[in-house]
Amino acid sequence: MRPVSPPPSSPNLGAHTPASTSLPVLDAGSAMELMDNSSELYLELAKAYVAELQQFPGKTEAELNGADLVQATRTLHTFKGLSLTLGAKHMSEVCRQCELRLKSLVQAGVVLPEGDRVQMVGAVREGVDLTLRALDQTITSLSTPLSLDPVAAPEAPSVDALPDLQSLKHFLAQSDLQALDCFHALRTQHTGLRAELFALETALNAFDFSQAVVQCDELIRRIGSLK
Amino acid sequence: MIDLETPVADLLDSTHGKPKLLVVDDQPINIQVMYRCFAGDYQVFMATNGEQALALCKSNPPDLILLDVVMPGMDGYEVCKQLKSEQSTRHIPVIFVTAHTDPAQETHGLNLGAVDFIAKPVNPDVVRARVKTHLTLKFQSDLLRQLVFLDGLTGVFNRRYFDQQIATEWARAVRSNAPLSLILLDVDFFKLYNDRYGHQAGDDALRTVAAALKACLKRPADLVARFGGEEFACILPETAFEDALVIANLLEQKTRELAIAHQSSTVDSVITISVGLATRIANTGNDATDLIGLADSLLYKAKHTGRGRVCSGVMTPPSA
Repeated sequence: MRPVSPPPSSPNLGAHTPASTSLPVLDAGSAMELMDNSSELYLELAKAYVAELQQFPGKTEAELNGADLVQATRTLHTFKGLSLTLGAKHMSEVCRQCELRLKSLVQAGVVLPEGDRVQMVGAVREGVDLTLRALDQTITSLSTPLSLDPVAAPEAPSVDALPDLQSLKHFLAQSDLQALDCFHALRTQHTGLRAELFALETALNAFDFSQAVVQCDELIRRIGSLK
Repeated sequence: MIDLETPVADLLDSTHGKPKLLVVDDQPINIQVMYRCFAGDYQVFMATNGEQALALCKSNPPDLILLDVVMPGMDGYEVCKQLKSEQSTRHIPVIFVTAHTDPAQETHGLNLGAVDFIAKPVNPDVVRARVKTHLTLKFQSDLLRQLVFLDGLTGVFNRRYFDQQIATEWARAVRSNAPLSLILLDVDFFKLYNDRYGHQAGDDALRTVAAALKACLKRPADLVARFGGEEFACILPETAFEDALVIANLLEQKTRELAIAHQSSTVDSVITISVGLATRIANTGNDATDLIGLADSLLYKAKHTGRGRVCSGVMTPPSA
């Protein structure tokens, strides 16, 4: 997959603040190589990353405005790594430069100059916009087109799903990541259950396995009452 | 020499199943990447914060931990420090996986006891190879540690390990004000058994008895050790006298049920054991030797009151 480069108009933000980079905005190909060339996994993670990225400018701005430089440094550090994992190299570099600047300020015990704050927020927002646009194209190109086959009527939830729900609960309670595959199989094999799985899926996507166990228990109780 | 061509599962014997990895990261995306990287060869567990990781390491210890550094609340360095300060978790290898590229950070992590430091984004082939190398080393050191503490004949723990553990458990019992029970037992008329059936049969009998004793202890903290010749010891931490007495009687019964013929015994026609059980309750005894002394005197009593029986007692507090 050909890397998406940043537009030539990216502003230079000065010596201490994020500079424009010559790095590609998105290099999905190299990121996929690090995922054993699994476009399916890349697609799944890219969607999760987009959700995180949309929150990122607001979160960073709030932390910088609140002068919580330590927390802001942590947030930028986290996004630096996440962005690299997804091949969002420009975003990662923006985060890296901001992180470095904040770290030096924290170490020196100096407050963040207003000019730096404005430039950082601007650089983050610009990086996020560019990355989201590039990701949108990539996600579209990787997504399987919707089938035009007539959609079968959804089945009703069935007690047949109970053993699989019990297995899922077992994995969740152990913090065993086989829970992810178990959930995927549950969705695929018990189509009648899909509408019931929303809360469980939300907890799973957040990797909140304790909450997922609660949701799983609730489902087991509901499906069990169908007997 | 480490053979990196060996399939990962073969590094452990079949009773252990797949090696267990714990991935600790506050970002679900990073956990997903690691899971896809290792799902084929390992059982992968996850924690999204330091506290959860420490709790998991106690309840279900992994063979290796892949640990993020920057996390909200307790960071990876603190998690590593706590793991290395605990007897039960200090042997678990820790690999830091982080977006930090600063050599000072890497040095700090390694100084805390981590075995490796890998930069994000991880290359799956590299991280798999490194994990395999560290697991091989871990399994080899586990094996060496076991050999140092195992009795060569019976496969249960040896006297050296017993001495170490009874002192540790005594200190723990004093600290937590919990009961501690100790069973000492002796195979009845074992010299006569050897004289009649030969030393090879004697060795076989000891092996069989040791396995039966081990099978009677169900909790992970309970242990059987060979105390000397035909004497064995069982340490039962946090076990009250009444519960320990049930176990002591079970040991006696299960040994008898092995039905190992012993025609020279005056107790029964099969091998039997004499058992002394002693329990430490709150504020009794000065150290572990007091408990061993009481268990030994109760074993002596069992032997001198007919053998093939249990004699038991509780340590008494010092008189006011």
